[in-house]
Amino acid sequence: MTGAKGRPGWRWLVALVGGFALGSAVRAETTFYQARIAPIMDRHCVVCHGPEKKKAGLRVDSFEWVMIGAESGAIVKPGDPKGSELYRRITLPATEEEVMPSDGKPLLSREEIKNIELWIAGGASAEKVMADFPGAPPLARPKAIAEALAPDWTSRAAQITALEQALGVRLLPRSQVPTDGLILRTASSPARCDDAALAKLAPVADLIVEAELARTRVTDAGLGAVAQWTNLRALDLTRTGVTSAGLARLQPLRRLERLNLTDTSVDDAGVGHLRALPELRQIWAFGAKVTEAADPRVVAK
Amino acid sequence: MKLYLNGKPAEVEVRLDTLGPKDSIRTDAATHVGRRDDFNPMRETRFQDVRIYRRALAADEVARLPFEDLAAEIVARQPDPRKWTTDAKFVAADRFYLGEKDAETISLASAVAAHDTAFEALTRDGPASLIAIEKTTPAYSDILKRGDYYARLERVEPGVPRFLSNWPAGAPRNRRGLAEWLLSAEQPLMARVSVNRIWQEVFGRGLVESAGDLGVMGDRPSHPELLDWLAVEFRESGWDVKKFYRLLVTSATYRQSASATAAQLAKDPGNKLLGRGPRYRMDGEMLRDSALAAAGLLVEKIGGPSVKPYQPPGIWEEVAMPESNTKTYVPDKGEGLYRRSVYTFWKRASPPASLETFDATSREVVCTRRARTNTPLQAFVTMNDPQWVEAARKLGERALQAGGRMEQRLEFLARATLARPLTPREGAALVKSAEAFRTKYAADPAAAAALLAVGESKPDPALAPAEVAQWTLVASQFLNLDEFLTK
Amino acid sequence: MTPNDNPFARDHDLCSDHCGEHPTVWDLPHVPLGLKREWLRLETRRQFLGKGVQALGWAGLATLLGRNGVAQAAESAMATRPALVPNFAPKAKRAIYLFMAGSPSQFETWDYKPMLYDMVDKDLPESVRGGQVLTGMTASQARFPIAPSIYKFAQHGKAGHWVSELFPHTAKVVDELCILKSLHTEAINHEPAILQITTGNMFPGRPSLGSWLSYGLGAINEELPTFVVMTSKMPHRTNVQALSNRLWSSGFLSPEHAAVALRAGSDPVLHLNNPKGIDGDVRRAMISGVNDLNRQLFERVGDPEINARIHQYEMAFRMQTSVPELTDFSNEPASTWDLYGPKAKEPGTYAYNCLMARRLAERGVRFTQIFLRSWDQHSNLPKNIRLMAEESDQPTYALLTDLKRRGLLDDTLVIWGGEFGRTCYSQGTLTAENYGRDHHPRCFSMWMAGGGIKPGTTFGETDDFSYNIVKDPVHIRDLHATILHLFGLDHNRLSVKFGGLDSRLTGVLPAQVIDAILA
Repeated sequence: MTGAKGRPGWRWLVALVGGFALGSAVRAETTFYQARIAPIMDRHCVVCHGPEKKKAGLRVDSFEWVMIGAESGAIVKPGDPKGSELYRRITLPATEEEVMPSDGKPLLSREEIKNIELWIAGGASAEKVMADFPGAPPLARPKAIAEALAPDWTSRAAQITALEQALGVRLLPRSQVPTDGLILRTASSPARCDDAALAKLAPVADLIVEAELARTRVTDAGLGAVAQWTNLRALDLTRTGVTSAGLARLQPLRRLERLNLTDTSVDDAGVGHLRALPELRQIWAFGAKVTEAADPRVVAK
Repeated sequence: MKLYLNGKPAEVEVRLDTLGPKDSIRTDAATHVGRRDDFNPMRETRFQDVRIYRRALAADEVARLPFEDLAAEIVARQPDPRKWTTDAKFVAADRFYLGEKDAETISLASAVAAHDTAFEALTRDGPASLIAIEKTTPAYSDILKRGDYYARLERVEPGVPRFLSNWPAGAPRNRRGLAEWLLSAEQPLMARVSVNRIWQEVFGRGLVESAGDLGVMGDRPSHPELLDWLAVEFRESGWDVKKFYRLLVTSATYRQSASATAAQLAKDPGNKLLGRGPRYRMDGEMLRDSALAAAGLLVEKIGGPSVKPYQPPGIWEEVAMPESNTKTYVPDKGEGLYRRSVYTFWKRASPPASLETFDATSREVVCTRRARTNTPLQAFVTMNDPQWVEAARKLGERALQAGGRMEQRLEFLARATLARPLTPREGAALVKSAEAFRTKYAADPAAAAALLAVGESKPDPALAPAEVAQWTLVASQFLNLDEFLTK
Repeated sequence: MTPNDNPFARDHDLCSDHCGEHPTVWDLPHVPLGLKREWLRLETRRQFLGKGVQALGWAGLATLLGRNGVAQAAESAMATRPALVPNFAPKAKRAIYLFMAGSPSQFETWDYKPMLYDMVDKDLPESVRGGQVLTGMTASQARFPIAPSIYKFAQHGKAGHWVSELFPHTAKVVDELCILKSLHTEAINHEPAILQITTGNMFPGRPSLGSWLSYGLGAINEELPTFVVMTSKMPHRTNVQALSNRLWSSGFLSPEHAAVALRAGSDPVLHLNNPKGIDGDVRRAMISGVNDLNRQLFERVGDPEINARIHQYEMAFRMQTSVPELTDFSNEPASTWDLYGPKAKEPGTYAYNCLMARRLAERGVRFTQIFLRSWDQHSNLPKNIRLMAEESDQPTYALLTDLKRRGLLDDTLVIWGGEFGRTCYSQGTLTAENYGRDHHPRCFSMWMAGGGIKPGTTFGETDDFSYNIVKDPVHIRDLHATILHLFGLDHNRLSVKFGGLDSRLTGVLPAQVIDAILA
């Protein structure tokens, strides 16, 4: 792949690109290409057809590169979507070998394809603006980069492992994203997990995002430790000895979203302690003494 | 009611007959032909000719009906046979003329029956074996796109893979040529793959660990020169498999102790460098055979049809179709319970459960290297499967029959299962459990009797049941030792 | 057992390629550069797999030998696939797959086709059939009379989904479901079709969906199997198809990833119970003696395998208590029996299995697959599908309801469906009360609920004959990609080198996660 630079044909191409770039510089209004087409290319195509890989000699990381096309020729025929290789490839059925993006990568959405179609039909222009394409459907906004749920745990791996071994619980990464936090998991031997064990988890208090404590020997005393886990989003206390009094301790859990109190002795008063938790969306309390009147977020039946 | 098949009286099985002597078969209900009720027509059935007579037909009339009458009608309708439809040809020419009138065809057809009978007699003493015979016309196959039966691509004929190197000059590109290529000295693959598999069986892992792939995508050999030497040795011995096994098991490498120091383990946990002897959990078949052998139950008879040892009820039923001929597992009686595991009946949809627990595969796809897992389910087999409980009981009886005091009996068991004497510490631990078992069964004859009832073989009446129960447990301990389960 | 004994965990030390006496792959002549790169990539990955996957049974043994999510993920922070940690935060932790073997008709269940009532007994237009190859069972039929559902449909729930009157209970929770009407497959016969949907490939020998989850994610509860399968008693004995272990086998993955069949009755796990005459005390003494000797052996031989053996026997002993606790329903409150119905007390029924599935989910079994057979209604469909619906409707509803009220539905994915669809025309004679339906691969319906599925939705549309898909087709590999996605796994990255390929559940053709049905 390093050979491309040395090929004689590329020298004048680079020069040509320079010329194009100058011509299209500085414009007050965002062009349709910049607003709609470039993001599609960036999202789906540039990984293979960009400065890094240039598969089939094609780059699409700028308008100019798109118009230069691939080794085999132009990929865009201005004014003629159906006659454009770009359009043909992105509209093939997923089962076709020639479909783009290739190798099972997600295909373009209907809206993305429509934008490209309109852009080519409108002359594949670098200058036209949004107003020139009134029928262009909006693109779904790319998902926002997920917020960090907890600090990066990776530097504390040894400590985490030691705690697991000492306490007989698991502290598992929720995902490969190191800021997704840890799951405290006790399903293998819930009987080993008690209030004392929870207290010993203080060194990783900020890392625990989900705590699966169902069937453990945790009681109200242990909830004092749990209350220190300020990044906790989900807490399962099914069939534990916690009571309404203990729930009062959970008020520091400002980020708690889901709380499971199934088969506990908690009653309406207990749930009352949680009223102020801003993120709490759902409280399950089947088999407890809670009524759904206590809080709209309660599922009790 | 009489039924005729192609004009000849047919046997009738009466399933239901509630007709009294004075009743009539006249009824308003519809008569169904070829179906039991409205809903279940016989599949792929068509009716060619339906006639209704107001009188009973005589046998000779019926005999003419199916083909003679029809043939007459066909001829009457169209005298020129070249213009007959396929159906007409079938009835008039095949069924009527060749089937009933042409003497030579009739005599040949009757000879077929005689040959069939003779063939049946020949195969009565054992199952027929399939053999391969080259067809007179070349075989072909169609390439199906992604295996789709409806997407036929090009037609292909027999050949050998293009990538095979050093193809013997003049060898045909068919099975014969492939055989010549496999055995030719110019290509090392066959010999390397073979010795690597045998090495894997003896040492637990191959010199090339990916025994099913010695190509560029497979693992590199740990000892390439050794692999080559073994391959040449094997080939030059005339592919003598037995001799090759002897070569391996008598080697200094194989006969090393399997013990490892912590330093050795840290440096070479998988024993890739062969610094110690092989040590791995044996395959399920070997384990079962070993237990039966230790118990003196193993029937060493060679060959014959498959056998069905113990298996809990219900396992086949859970997956079988109601009409399947392997729907219900009925264990054998007698020697079928104690044959070597290679003779165990194999239903691929539901392989022998206790062997599957030890990673036996379903045998649906080729397996060059069986996995070796370690699950609690395996402990359940070796502790609770009636096959193993009975083996323990018989082994315990052997220890009792050997006589002597407790220590001597334990030594007997150690020799029978571990092929070595016990250390004093081991002896002490075993005595401790043996005492516990004695106390239990001396006080609980019912439990002893229940334990002795496991398995088809009868307990030795000369021995006290409580003692047999006690020694069943001690023997079971030996059969569950890591050292017994491990090579 | 060391990690190196795993057949798929080749522990080639990359370094040995460069420092050892053998030439590195780069030095091999005649090997195309692309292949060399591939080799290098594989080697790198093998290292991680080698550390990540243990050839051990219940993952509990693995803990003993140092398998640890954090340690691994930390080590392989730069790897493409750290073992047993999802690629991204999952929505589903567990799944329960209600497998309707034999394939229920979409017409009497989820794909309401009112237009067919105008076409009763008319022939299916050739333009609709479009050259579809038929099975030998109907190919010889003289005509293809259109048979609308004999059962009525009504709209239910806030979403207003059309549900057949055969499912009055499930209709009550239809707002939890996402009904997929546009599944399709290539296979027209049961065996290839059922293999394709259970393993992603119509040829045997591939790992099943549950095995891939076990391989990719490991156990939640290391003292129970990761993948459990239960077969259900059949309410009647016609329209039955065979099942086989290959539907839940681990294929080319290590056998530890295969399902454990949980059997009805007193011995739910094969040979779990001690034989008559051996009680718990005797068993304890027996195992203590065995482990005493094994420990002595370990002192002499030093093989860590022996420690695994000791652990194996201790775990077996614990299971002799924990499994009966699992299967002992006596502590279930009365509300359970009201919900699941009286048949839930009879071991092996579909109702019993649904209740068991909830108990398994509570205890952290990753993947439970319940098979219910005899949906293959080629004939007598009206009568037999009613029997099947009566057998399964209430327990299915009960399972969903029970999971929901206990807070489990949030992260438990429930899947309902068969292996293909059925024809809109009658197999055999069509009468006012009776008809049959043949196999139909071009479209079929399934539903999913919980575990990150958008509730109260439908996806995909078929034509007026439910013969062809007209909108949003979902191939089985798309379904699989979506299920893996819900578990936080990228279907392209969950792969194992086998047969010269990066073998994946979704195969080599492109598969797409169905974003539209994700919550």
